[in-house]
Amino acid sequence: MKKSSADITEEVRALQQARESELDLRNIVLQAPIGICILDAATLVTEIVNDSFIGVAGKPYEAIAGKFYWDTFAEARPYYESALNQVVEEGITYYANEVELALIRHGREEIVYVTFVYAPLKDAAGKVKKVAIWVLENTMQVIARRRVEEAERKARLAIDSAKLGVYEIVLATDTMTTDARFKEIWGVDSASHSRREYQQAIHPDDLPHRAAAHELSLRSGHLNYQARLRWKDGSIRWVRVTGALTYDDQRNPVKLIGVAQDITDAVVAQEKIEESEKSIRTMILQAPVAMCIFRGPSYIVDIANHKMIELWGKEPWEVLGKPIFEGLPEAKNQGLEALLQHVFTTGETFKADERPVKLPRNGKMETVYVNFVYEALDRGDESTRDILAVTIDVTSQVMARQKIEEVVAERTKALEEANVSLKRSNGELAQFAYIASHDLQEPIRKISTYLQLLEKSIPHPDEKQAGYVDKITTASKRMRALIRDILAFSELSKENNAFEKVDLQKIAEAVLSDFDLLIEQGGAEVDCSGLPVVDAIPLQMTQLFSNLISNALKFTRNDVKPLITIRAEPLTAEAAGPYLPVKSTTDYYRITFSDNGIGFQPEQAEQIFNIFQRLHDKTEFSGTGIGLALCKKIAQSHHGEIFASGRPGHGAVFTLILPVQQG
Amino acid sequence: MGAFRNILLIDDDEDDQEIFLAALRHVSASVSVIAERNAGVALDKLAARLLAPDLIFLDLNMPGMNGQQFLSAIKKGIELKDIPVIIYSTSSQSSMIIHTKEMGAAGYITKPDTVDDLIEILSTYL
Repeated sequence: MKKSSADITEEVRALQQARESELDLRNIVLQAPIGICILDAATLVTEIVNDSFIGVAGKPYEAIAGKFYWDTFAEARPYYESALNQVVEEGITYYANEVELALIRHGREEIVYVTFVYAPLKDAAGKVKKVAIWVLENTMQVIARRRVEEAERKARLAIDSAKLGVYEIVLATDTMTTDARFKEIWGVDSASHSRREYQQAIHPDDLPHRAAAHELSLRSGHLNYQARLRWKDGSIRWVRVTGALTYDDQRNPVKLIGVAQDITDAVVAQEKIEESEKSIRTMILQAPVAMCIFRGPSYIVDIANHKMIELWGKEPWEVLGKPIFEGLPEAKNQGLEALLQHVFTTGETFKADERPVKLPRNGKMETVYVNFVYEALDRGDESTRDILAVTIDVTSQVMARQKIEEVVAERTKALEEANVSLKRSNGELAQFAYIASHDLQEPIRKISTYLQLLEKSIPHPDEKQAGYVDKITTASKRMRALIRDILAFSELSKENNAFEKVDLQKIAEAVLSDFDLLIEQGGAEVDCSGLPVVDAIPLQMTQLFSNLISNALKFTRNDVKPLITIRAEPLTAEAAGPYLPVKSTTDYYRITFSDNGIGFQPEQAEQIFNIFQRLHDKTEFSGTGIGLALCKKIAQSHHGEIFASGRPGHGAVFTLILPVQQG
Repeated sequence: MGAFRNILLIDDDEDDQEIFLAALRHVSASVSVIAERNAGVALDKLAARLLAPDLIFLDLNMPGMNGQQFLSAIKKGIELKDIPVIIYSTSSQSSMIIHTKEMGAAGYITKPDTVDDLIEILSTYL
């Protein structure tokens, strides 16, 4: 069937109309303030795109127009391809509201927030011919809104974490709205909006103070006060209230919005700090020693007691409140700066004993000796600390000690000199005694030998002659004995004798065998056993034992069989102490020589040890009077002692104390 | 004993010489004794064979040549070293006794306090 012209005209008109409508559409699209692009539904090629869309897309026109949509927005394809397909296939509009998109704009990836619509454009048959895409960028709005939300969240968090209670007062009605935390802080649990009820919880003493703060807030716009609350249970809580006024257009205050914070713990802590601060100050001021506090890195004299200021040689006004080295410049360059610096930086305590410091005294610098302590006082602030100085002036003690030391040194020197001269004179005396006795031996030997020759040359002397010879003989014998003993005594003073381990039992037995004949003649019994080994000079021990045993055998009673007992027992240093002139820590032996002889008067117990001391007539008992003096000297040269006890007719006991070891 | 006929005594002390001779007379009447006061002179005489003792008594502490020096010298002389020398001294120091024995002394007498003691001692040597 051929078309009529009318048909054709109609067709042309329709086509024209369509063209016009398409043109209209295109114009609408192009001029729209919203991003629009039209896709061919079959190919998804962009047919129309406006500047707004290009602006949102951030891509050049050539990259969009006439291009496959997903080539243009490859970065969004994984997320929205299926949605677009669905719009084409099912003809249902797709909405996306403020979605976050990572778009490549101007060559860079940007996060943008967009609201867009995929809308199907259908033909008469309802077939989707085209898809219209409207897009609106919301990035700025979303970011702004998120910021607001974040700020709110943070404020809420701050209020929450600071445990702030929030309240609001409408000034016109004087009604009060509070949150739960505020009620909790205030100790009020009612749902009342009455300001009065909240006011009643404030401590009456703090009401004037609060009223003044409110008064001030009307002028300044800000409210700030601290007050005590009386909770229903009677406890007292401290709160800090801060707030701000809001105003209407005429600058009339409308509302007061404020927060309250429970600061009881902080106030209590502060009170404690203040109290301890106060007690430190009181302590310092009343201290019997010099004390002060240096504040901060320049060591400002924060507080110093009278004693400290006196020690510094200053007046209070010269030093108080000033850096110490400004108030007391005389203390500079004496090493104190470094000490304070060390304590300040490390927090370690510094102590000094008897440190000489030069300080002003009556206009002159004098050396003062001080014991002092620098102790760091930390006050919770890590950047600074104070230093507590405690000082004791020990100048007089140090001076006195120095004086004593000087005197001691002097005396020691004098003593040493005296000792040297004593040693010399002792040595000389011993030397003299030795030489004298040695040289005396010669003539006395000759006297006795010539005497014998004389005797022999007079075969028949008369009674007188014989008597004289007898007397000379006796005198010369005694002289010989004396010389022999003095020689022995003087030889003890020579310091060439060496100590060695000596078995006293063996010494005693050897001495006893020398006395065999005498023991046998006197019918004496000697009981000697268990004598120890000690450090000793063997010859001297022999001499000592010989003298004591010889004495015991000599001073016997005629009516009693002589009995001599020699025994030894260990003795601690402590037990030996009372017998010895010098304290010692070594162990000792106590060796006793007991006899049942004639004994002696107790008051003679000491004098028998004196040289040349005799208790008896020479005719009664022979002897030189040197024997026991020799024993004493031997005991003492062995760092021991000897003493005697006895009673007439009841025998004698000689007690010898000897150290086991010679130091 | 009677083995020794010629005795030389070297002692600077004339008293001791006299005492020695008196004591020796009690021991034996037959020995001949020559006393010398000076050890150096005695040594010269011995070397020159002016003296030919078969026993020498020697004091130690003497001026000039002392006893030890004399002993040492005589022990070096080949012809003299076999003459026995007995030390006759006031000293009773054991160190001296040991020392002279080591040097070759045949005996040691400490000058006793009595003539009787000396007689007794001398009789053991002669």
